[in-house]
Amino acid sequence: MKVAEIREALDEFGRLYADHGRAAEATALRTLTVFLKDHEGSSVSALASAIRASRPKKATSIDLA
Amino acid sequence: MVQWVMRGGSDVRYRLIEVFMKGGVLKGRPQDNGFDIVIIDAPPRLTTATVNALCASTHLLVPTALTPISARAVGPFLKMARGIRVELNQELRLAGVVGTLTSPDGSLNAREQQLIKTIVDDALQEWKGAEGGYMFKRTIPRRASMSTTDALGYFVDDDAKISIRDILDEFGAELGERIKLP
Repeated sequence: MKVAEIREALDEFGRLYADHGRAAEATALRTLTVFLKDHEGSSVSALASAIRASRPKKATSIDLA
Repeated sequence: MVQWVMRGGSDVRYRLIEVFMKGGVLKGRPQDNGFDIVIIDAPPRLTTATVNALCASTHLLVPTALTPISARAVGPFLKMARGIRVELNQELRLAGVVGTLTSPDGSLNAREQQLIKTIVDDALQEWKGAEGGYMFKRTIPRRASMSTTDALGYFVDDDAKISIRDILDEFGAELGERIKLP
């Protein structure tokens, strides 16, 4: 399976989650989709290295307003 | 409310930082499961919640619409926040002031540029920390998808001159550099 095919499948899952009002899952899948889009054409090993190198910050927000 | 204020003898201004310091919330070591970053959205007024946020924070980011009424409020707010810094949290640093609700492509018109040179620059003088004041180069424009879609429209593929994703990435990079995010 190519990176582009994985990206398209995840994008479709993201849309399905969004359609069902599951924003957190949809956002997570879209994040992964965007990452794969940026690395389309890369080899799997290069993709694995990029994933390891770009560990996202774990963030949260508190609304006190 | 009274019970909450009087609870346990600890200072009501430090309740939020107490939660952070208990462990499990913030990531102290790479293998911990806590958060790297916590963003606290607080009102620009001296409420108990705002004081707690300022006491628990390392950096302060002040968004303002680039209109005379909004921009004029930045100075008094920074003066108030500086007071909190001096009295309660000397670790607090000013990340900067970011202009919001600008034109869709993020460019500034002559009136907005003039506002930054006058009112905002004066306001930044209110923050007399060692690091000085800072106005972000990247502004956050008024775009419908930022308010109507999840994640501020980050995933929207629009055909505007500059995508929302690029705008937020640019802002994130500038903020990360400003606060020296590891």
